[in-house]
Amino acid sequence: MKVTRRGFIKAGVGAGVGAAAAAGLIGQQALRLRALEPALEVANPLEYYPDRSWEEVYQDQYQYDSSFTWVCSPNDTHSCRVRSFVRNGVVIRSEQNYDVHRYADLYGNKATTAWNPRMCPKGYTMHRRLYGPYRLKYPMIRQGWKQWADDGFPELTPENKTKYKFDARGQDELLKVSWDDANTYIARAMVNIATRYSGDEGARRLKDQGYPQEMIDDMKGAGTRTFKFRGGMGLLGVFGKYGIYRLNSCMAFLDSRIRGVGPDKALGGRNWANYTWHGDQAPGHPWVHGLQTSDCDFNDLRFSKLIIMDGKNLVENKMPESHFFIECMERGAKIVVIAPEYGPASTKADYWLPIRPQTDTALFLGITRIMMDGKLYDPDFVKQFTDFPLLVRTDNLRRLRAADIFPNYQNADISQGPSFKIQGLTPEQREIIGDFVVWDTATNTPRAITRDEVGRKMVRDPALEGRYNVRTVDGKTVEVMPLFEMYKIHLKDYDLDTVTQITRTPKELIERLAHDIATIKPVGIHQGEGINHWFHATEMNRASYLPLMLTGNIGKPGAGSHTWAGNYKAANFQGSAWTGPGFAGWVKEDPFNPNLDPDAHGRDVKVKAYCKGEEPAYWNHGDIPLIVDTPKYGRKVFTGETHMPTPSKIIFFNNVNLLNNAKWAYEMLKNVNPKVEMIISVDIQMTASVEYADFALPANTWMEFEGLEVTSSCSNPFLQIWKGGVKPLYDSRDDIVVLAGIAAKLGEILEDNRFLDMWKFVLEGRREIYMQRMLETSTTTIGYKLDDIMAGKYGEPGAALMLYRTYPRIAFWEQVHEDIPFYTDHGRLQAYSDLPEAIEYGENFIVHREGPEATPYLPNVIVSSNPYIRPDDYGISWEATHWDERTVRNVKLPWDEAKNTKNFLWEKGYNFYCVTPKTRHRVHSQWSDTDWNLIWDSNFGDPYRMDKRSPGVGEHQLHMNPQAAKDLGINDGDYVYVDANPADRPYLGWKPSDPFYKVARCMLRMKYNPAYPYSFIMMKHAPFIATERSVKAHETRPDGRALSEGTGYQANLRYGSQQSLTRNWHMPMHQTDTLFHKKKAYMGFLFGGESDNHAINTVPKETLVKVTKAEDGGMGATGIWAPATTGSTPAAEDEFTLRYMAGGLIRVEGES
Amino acid sequence: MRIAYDPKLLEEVVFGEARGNPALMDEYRRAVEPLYEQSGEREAAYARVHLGLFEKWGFGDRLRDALREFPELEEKLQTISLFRTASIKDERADLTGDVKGVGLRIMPSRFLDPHGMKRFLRHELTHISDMLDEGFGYRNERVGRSPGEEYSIISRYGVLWDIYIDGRLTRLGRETERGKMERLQEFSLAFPILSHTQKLSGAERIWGGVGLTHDDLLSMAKEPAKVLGAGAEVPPELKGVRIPGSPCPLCRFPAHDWGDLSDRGDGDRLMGLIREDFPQWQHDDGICWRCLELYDLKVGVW
Repeated sequence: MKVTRRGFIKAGVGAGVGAAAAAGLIGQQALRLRALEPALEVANPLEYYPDRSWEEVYQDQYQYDSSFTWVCSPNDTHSCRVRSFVRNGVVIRSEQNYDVHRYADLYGNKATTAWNPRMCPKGYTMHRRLYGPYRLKYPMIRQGWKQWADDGFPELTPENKTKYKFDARGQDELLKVSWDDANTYIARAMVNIATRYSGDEGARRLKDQGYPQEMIDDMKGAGTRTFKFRGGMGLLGVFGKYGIYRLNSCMAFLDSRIRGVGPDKALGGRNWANYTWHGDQAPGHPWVHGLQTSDCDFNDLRFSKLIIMDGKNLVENKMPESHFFIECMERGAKIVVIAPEYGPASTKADYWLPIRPQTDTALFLGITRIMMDGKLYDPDFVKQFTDFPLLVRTDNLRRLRAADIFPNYQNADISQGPSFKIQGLTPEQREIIGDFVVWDTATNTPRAITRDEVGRKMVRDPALEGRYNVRTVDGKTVEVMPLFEMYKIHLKDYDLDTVTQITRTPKELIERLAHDIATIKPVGIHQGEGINHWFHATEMNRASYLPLMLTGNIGKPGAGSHTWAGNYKAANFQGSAWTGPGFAGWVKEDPFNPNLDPDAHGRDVKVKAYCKGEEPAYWNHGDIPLIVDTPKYGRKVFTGETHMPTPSKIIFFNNVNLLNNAKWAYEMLKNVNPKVEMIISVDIQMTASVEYADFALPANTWMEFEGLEVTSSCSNPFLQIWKGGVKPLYDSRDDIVVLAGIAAKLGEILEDNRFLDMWKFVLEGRREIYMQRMLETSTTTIGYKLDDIMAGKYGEPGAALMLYRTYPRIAFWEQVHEDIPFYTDHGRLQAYSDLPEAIEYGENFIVHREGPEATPYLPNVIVSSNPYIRPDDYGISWEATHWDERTVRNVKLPWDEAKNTKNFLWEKGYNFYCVTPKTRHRVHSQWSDTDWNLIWDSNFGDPYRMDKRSPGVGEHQLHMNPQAAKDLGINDGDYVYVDANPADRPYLGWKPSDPFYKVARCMLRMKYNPAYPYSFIMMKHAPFIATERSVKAHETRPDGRALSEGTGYQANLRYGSQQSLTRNWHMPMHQTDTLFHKKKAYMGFLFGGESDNHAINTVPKETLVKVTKAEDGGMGATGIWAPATTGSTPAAEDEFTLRYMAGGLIRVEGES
Repeated sequence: MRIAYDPKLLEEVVFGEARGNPALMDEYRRAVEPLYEQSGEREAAYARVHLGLFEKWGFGDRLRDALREFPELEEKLQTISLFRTASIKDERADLTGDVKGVGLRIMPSRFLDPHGMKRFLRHELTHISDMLDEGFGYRNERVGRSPGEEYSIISRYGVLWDIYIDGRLTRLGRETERGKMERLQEFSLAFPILSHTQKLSGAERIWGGVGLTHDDLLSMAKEPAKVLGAGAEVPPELKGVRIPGSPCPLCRFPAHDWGDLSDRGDGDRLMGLIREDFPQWQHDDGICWRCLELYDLKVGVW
């Protein structure tokens, strides 16, 4: 034997073992040595040893070269700061930063550690989006559009629309282009389109194209008014996203040049809304308290003793913060859920109130009646803070004004009070508002009352009950009543039996909830998309406040009625008379007077609005306002002047999948967008919106930002500023740089340096100057220095606490504790609206209405016999089926009559409500192409795509009651069609011979889910829709993926989308010119429309659908989907599963 | 047939009757107050007192009067046991396991409304009568594969049976516990898949039904289309599959639910409209429900 070292050791060990057997003492050593013995005696172990290098992979993922923090800022309100770890320049993983307990404010207040940890699986997989295959890598231009531009922008006649594929954008090619060329084309088109539609000639063209005169008049001759700009939820990136509105302001230069007008007449384009267009605002909130939205910091939920989730799923849709309400179970609170389905939130609830969709108003009215009948209310709060004591005239249904009855009445002087000094009320507004009247019980006479006389400042003891006659200054005797008295009449229609019939909620649960609200404090009601996405959300929002107004559950820790959907809160950077312009200094700086001094204080920035807000809902309705030919009055315009849209010729959006997420999306693609002459999408990835755009401009992700960006939230107190930590992968730019580049190109082409001046500090790489100006002029950040924040002075570099009045932030704390008026005209919480529109529409009282579509009963019927509800039906027939007629028809019936009426769609078999909530594993449409999230997101996720019909590794799905599905012959896992009213969906004018119909009809997998009631289906919203390219792909690719050729777009459905079922509804109550309320981002008031504040709130749930089988779910479209045959799925349980569910698998000792 | 009472039921009935009536309350107190002094077996003594007053005040007669409408029960059953329940939803009659007795859960307040009680008992005892009728063929069996399915089918079955009973009682000129409209509403909620017209005709068919059996009701509970009757025209959405999964000749989507063209002749305007878009299309090629609906809409018949 060749003696090698290994051989020697082996020989020695062998000797030792022999000795050990004899002596017994060496045994342990011998065993130890034996453990070192190689398995085989080999010369080169590398050739024979098992490969253990895989262990290194496991260990290496925790090794990194550096780390950085960034803010995950999708539209979910959380804005979590995430730490990512980098190796060789590549992000290899991300984790929660666990830093919030360090966040502080100027005064040393710190956030509670209970906020930690913050981040959900979306942040965890963000780097898979960053490095994934779906990124936009360079600017692109649509081939047909480029040809149109190269041909000199000829007028888009029907022939030219076809020639340049404006009517077939989804079939055209996207060409790579340089940034400079993209900006040049865009700038040239802006000049051309603004010129084409300016002046009388422009107006004539638009008239010829069929636009209503009201829309053309609102342009005031400016072609730039046809430009629509939308920064997708601007708060998600105050400078890069909201910055698009600054670019819009620059269009005033263009108008000035084209029309030869000065700054006094120049106009920019329209700023498209976000929050309302998503349907996320609780549109009833301004009607109750005058504020855009009531919400609180999420840790305020810990103070609640009764938490009511009404159409809100705080489990799935507030992932990092849901623990706050769940912890309340340990803190002795009661949790209640009101929802049609037994969802994740219901599993945490003490009790669940099942309810027919969109009947929550009736429920709260019933609860209110129980509380009023049982005198279960706090009379002091009712008198001090609500409009219940204010007198209402029974003749014209207006509130009694002091000037109505007191001759030569002069409004009381409140110029030194909070209305003027804090809230920014103007003398002109004061004159319009006037003073109100209560019945003074001490003198038994009417007494004037101002909006400042709230809380302890109200010295009189007003009557809540009784009927009184007053003599008006014009000599009439009018019966008046305190609103409280009128509500007793109003609520006669909402007795317990009736409410049970309307809502289908069990009586005992309604009584129990009424009792709980009356006896437990504090009470917090949380509404969400489950309410706000219905047509009559306004009433449901208003109604939720009634029990709280009766019990004083407002403005106190753990109390209030709040709403959660979308990170909308521009008011986080609101300006005021005493701080300066705040956020407006960035988006509305006067382009004709920009402040170019880098050292100037933000207060010295001049602000002037050259743009006007607009709801995309009008574009979403065929690019028209709500105008109806009524039998009684002929042509009637329901859209208020403050809301009036203009024709849409340029649509420019950033950070939003606008077309994918448009209700009635296929109508937009097919019939509306061909009228639009340039569509620009700024995004990080390939979306359906990009496939149907003329330009795709690639933006950097949050992790790649080359400069600073700012965000904050409506649900936490954190100011977050950050930049990226890895270099941009592709030829992409920070959003703010994209915008500045277009402005610079316009300046270059027009030889107008003012465009460059407006973006001076961005173009010079000093965007921080604009940021500091905003911080030092916002009521919530005044005093902060950007440098200090970035240096970590407030705990974590880039983070600080917003300067709120209380931590947690509590809506209306000042009103209740410091006797400050609410933001209504009379300064009180409002249960009654005397606006002429509200009276005309029959919504002066808070009243239950059936939806215009989603109801078995007469669409839009008002359920009431109250003589003080006197709506106008405009002579529209009960048989009318047009969507706009259903929208405006106001028919009042008591429930006994209403319940015998019919909805023609229900009678035609459209008898499924279809709800479309937000997903758990995506944020609206974001993460819809991220593999892991898609796999988690549905029951049909499969990384191997065993069934080649699956559009990708995941697949969108419908949830349905098993029995309802069985009744329709549909098995668990089958593909189904979901169809809505054939008159208008999926798009107007569809027909079977149109290839686009095949793209637009919704077909998807269906999953049995016993949590859903019989007539109720659920499809999560905003999947990546099927497009012409994706349909062609899955029908022709060998692997069957819905992966578009040429663009790389990955759809989540084979055909259609959730938007195949939805449409836009022009809710009249959202379009008044008279609602008095607070401005959204400034301490001041306005009457009428303001984007995201009082404007059309879109309502995707307002639909009825029919579900029919499309394909078998089994492999090869044959038989039953395999998992549904295992015996372990709902409605197909085998004996074993049934025994398991019954607890039969566990034997208890002593029992047989 | 022996009648047995739950002592709690007797006590509540008697006390409920006496409450608000000074003379009866006085009589009641005189009967029970001595029992407070009694030791041992006091509960049985109370029960005897309550039973005595129950009979004396005529409640036993009311029950026996209701039973006289069902002579067949006297023949087939040995006992009827009445138990107190506090909830209207728990009120019902059922056969005992040995099929020799009936258990009846009833709210005490029923006895205070003689007519209401009679209507209630009449309805419940008709259920028992059906169950004992061999022609009806009642069987106690599992009807669904899961708790959810079982619940759904049983719920529908119950609604159908209730309607069938009240329809028969009405034709016999007897008052029913619930009116026809109420039963129709129950039917409507139990069969939301049916259209308004279908609901009306379906409920009417059950209300007027003669000789329906357990199997008839069960099959209708399982398959709503059967409510419309064997001879009735079954609308497409309730029909069985025509050519499962084959593509519609118009839209080319696979179809399991087909449109009904049986009453559409070649001269129909709808056929003309379809042929404008699809010249090669023939009546016998068929059409999916959605395409048919669109063309119906176009010709204004939708």
